[in-house]
Amino acid sequence: MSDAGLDVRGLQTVLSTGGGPVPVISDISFTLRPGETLCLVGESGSGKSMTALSIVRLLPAAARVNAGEILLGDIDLARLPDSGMRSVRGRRVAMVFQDSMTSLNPLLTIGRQLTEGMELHLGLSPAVARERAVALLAQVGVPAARERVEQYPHQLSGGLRQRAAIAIALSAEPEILIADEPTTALDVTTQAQILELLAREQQRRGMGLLLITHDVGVVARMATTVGVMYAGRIVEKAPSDMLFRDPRHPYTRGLLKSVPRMDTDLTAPLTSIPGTPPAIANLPEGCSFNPRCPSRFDRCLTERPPLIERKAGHPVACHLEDA
Amino acid sequence: MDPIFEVDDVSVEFNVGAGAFAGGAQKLLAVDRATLRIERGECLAVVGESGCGKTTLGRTLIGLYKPSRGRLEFDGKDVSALRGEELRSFRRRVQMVFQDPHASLNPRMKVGEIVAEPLRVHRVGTAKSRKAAVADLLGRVGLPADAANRFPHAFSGGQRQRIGIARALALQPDVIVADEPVSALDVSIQAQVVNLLKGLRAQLGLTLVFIAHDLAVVRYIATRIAVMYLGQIVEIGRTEDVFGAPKHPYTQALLSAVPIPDPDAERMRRRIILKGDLPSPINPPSGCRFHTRCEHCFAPCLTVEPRLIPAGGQLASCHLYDQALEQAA
Ligand SMILES: Nc1ncnc2c1ncn2[C@@H]1O[C@H](COP(=O)(O)OP(=O)(O)OP(=O)(O)O)[C@@H](O)[C@H]1O
Ligand SMILES: Nc1ncnc2c1ncn2[C@@H]1O[C@H](COP(=O)(O)OP(=O)(O)OP(=O)(O)O)[C@@H](O)[C@H]1O
Ligand code: SF4
Ligand SMILES: [Mg+2]
Ligand SMILES: [Mg+2]
Repeated sequence: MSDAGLDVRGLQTVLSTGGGPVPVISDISFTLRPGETLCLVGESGSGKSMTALSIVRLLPAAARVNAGEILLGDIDLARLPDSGMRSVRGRRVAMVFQDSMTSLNPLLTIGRQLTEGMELHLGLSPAVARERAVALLAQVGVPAARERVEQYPHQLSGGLRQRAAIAIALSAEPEILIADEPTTALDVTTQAQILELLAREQQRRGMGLLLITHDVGVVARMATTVGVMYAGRIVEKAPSDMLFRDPRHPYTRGLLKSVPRMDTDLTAPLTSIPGTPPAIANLPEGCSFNPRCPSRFDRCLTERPPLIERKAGHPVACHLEDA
Repeated sequence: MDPIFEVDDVSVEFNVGAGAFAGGAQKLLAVDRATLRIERGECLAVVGESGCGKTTLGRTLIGLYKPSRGRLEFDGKDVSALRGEELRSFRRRVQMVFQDPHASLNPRMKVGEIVAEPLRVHRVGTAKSRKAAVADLLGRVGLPADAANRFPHAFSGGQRQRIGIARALALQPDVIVADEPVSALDVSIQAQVVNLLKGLRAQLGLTLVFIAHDLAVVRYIATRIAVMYLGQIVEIGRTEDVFGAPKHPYTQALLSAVPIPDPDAERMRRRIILKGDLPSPINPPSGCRFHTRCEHCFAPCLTVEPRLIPAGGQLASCHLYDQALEQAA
C-alpha cells in the first residue's frame, strides 16, 4: 500500500459555457494522508462535488481538468490515460455520490454490484464474493441483507440505497474513499453507524477519507483537517480543532453560526448568511465573498485575497488577516 | 377548528420479494396503522430512521399511494372518494417537495418551465403572468431570476432543491408536504429556507408537513413532531415536549445521536448507541417493534403491541408508560 495518500496541487477545472471556458474550481491544494479524514465544507455550488469528480475523472461532459496535479503515490491521476484511470477508479480510489442513484447501476441487483468489484479487483470466487457481499451489506446496517442482495436499487428507500452504495464503494478495499455527502439522506442513528464504519475502515486499512459534507456536526466528529470552500476556492484550511476554536474567514464564521444546534435558544431565528453565492461565470471583483461579507473593506472589492498561511497549518484567504 | 388532514388507522403496504410478479409476494407494511391529525397552519415534522415510512406517509397524504386500511380525510372528505373538480382542487391544494431533487426535476425542461408547470397544468394565468410568477417564486427561494433560462443540470444539488420548493409554491397550496427539503442544502442556505418556510406558514397560513432526518433543523420549524419507527408512529407531541423530555426509548436514542458542531462536545458526550440492526420491515419483530434494540425492554414488550398512550405532554407507544401494565407486572 502507498503511504503517500492523495496529494492535490493547484487543481483547476473549467466548464465550457457559451461565453468560453469558466473555472469552476481553482487552486485547490490539499494532502490527504492514509488513515486521515479531510472534510470539505462549503456553500452549495462552491465546487465540492466538482473537486471530487475531477479527482476520479467523472466530470460532466462540459467540464475538464485544466491545471494541477492529483498525485496518488507517484502516479499523477491528472495525466493518466482513461484506461489507466479506469483501473484506479473503484480499486484504489472509490467514490460514493451525493445522490445514491448516481452511484448505483439501476439495471443490476445490489448483490451483483457488490460482487463485481470483489471478483475483478480482489480475485474472489463468485461464491466467496457473494458471502462477503451479504456480510458487507449487514455491516453498513442494511437489514435482511440476504434478501436485499436480490433487489434492484429502485426497490430500496433512499437511506438503504445510500448504505448499499457505501458497501459497494468499500467492496474492493480502496486506499482512498471519496464520499460526497454520504450521510445526508440518512437519519442520525444510521449516520452514527456509518461514520463509525468509515472510521473503522480507516483504522483497519489506513484508508484515507475525503468527506464532503454540509453537516458541521459530522465535521466535528470526523475531520482531521477541514477545508472550507467558497466560490470554487479553498478559503480556509485548518486542523479540525483549530478551525472550530478560531475560525478566521468571515464565511467560516458565518457558517459556524448558522448551524442549528440542539442546545440553542429557539426564540432567536436561525442565523443565515445574507444573499446567495455568486454564479461561477459571474464572480464579483476582488474577494468572491465580498457582497455577503459583514467585514468587507475597500481592498476586498478590488483585490482577490490569496490563500496565505500566516499561522502554521492554518491558511486563510482574507484581507482582514493583514489588517 | 377541524383538522386539515385526519389520518385514521391508515396502513400502506407494498408487494415485495422474488414472488412479486408470480403471486407469491410478501407484504411490506410501510405505514402501519398510523393515526394522527394535522391541524390547519401547523408544522408537523415527521422524523425517524431511514426506511421507516416517512416518504410513504407523505406520498399517501398527497394521494399518490392508497391506504390498504383505515381512512384518510382531507378537509373533512374521504380522499379516496374525491372525483372530478374536487380531486383537481385537492391536487392544487396539496403539494409536495420531493426528497431527491435530481430525480424530481425533468432534465429537458428549463427551470422556468419546471416552476411554471403546475400553473400550466392547472391552467392558471396567461403565459405572461406565469413568467412573472416564476420570477417572483425564484426570488422567494433565493435563486437569481436568470435561473429561469437554464436547465437543472447546471445547478448544484442545493440549488435544485430550491427549484423544487419554488415549483411546490406555484399554485399557492394550503398544504406542502416537504420531503427532506433542506437535507441537501448548505447550512447557511438551510437557515434561509427554514426561515422562508416558517415565514410562508405565518403569512399564508400554510400547513407544513416537514419530513426530515435533521432533528436540529426540525426543532426550529416544527410545532409538533411525529417520530416513526418501522412504519409506526411511536411518539407524537409538541416540539418542546418531545425534544425537552422524550418519552419513547427510540426518540431518546435518536436525540442523543444528533451530532453537535463542536469537536470538544462531540468527544465528551454520551450517545445511546442502538444495539443491533434495524429489523426488516418485511418481517417486523413481534410485540413492540423496537424491542430488539431497546435498553428498557421487559416481558410484555415481546408479545404485546403498544398503542399510543399519554406520556408526559405527548403520546408515546411504549409499555413503560402503561399504568395498567405496571400494576399487573
Ligand atoms: N453539469 C454541470 N454543468 C454545468 N455547471 C455545473 C454542472 N454541475 C455543477 N455545475 C456548476 O458548478 C459549480 C460547482 O458545483 P458543485 O456541484 O461542485 O457544487 P457543490 O459544492 O458540490 O454544491 P452542493 O453542496 O450543492 O452539492 C456550481 O456553480 C454549479 O452550478
Ligand atoms: N415502491 C416501493 N416498493 C416496495 N417497497 C417500497 C417502495 N417504496 C418504499 N418501500 C419500502 O417501504 C419502506 C418505507 O419506505 P419509505 O421510502 O417510506 O421510507 P423513508 O422513511 O422515507 O426512508 P428514507 O429516510 O430512507 O427516505 C422501506 O422498507 C422501503 O424499502
Ligand atoms: S414498549 Fe418495551 S421495548 Fe418498546 S420501547 Fe417501550 S420499553 Fe422498549
Ligand atoms: Mg455537491
Ligand atoms: Mg424518504
